[in-house]
Amino acid sequence: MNKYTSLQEDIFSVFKSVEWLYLSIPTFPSDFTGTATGNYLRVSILPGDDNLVNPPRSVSGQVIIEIFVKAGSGPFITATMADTLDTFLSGKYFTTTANGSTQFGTSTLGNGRNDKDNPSLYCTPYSIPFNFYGV
Amino acid sequence: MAYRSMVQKQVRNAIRQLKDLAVEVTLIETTTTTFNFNTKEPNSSAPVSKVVKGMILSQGNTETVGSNLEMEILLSSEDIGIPDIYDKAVVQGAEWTIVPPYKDDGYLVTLKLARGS
Repeated sequence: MNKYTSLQEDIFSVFKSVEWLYLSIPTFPSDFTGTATGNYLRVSILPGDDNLVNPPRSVSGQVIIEIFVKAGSGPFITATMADTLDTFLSGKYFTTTANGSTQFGTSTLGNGRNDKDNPSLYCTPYSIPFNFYGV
Repeated sequence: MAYRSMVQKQVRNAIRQLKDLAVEVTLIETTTTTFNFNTKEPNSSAPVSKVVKGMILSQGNTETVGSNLEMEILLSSEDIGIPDIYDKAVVQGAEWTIVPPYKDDGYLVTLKLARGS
């Protein structure tokens, strides 16, 4: 079935694409502890309901991308990064494995706050819903 | 002599005076800054090992059910850089992961180590 790994392949295909790498925005998955020196993104995949067609193989959920910028730098950089994410994700459809396809919806940008682990950074959650249709 | 170097010298002396109360700790440090979405693994530098002396402050099982072990160990700050989750420590023949939080008062550092049994 490989529902979760296929979903992950679809989503992470964005962040290993030549187009994304060209932007040089440091991007990390959850449960990675790196040493970023500037603005960066942390990607978490939250599978949720499985009440789609073909439920054992399909799942819907949200991708939460935390946008970290230097605290005190204002909202402009965050908005620019969110718009950049939208160009790669909003309404897009990915099929990177034979196990299914991922369809993204439209994004929302949540309330920001100083990061609890590093208050010198300001973290704003960008979230976008997805449906993974397994075959 | 400046106060800071005087205290550092006394810390070195204190660790030397521990004699067999001290344990040998092999620190295995790597530098990890980026994640590779192609290989699905962190990009880490080659590990660098060094042997230092330290003192075990406590060790035992964690509170959760299972066989997870934890240990707190005291080292000289001079012997270790800023650790992260990718660094390891070999103590009494077993390899431990160095886990946060990392407490360093500038002279002595208390490391929390964890591993499965």
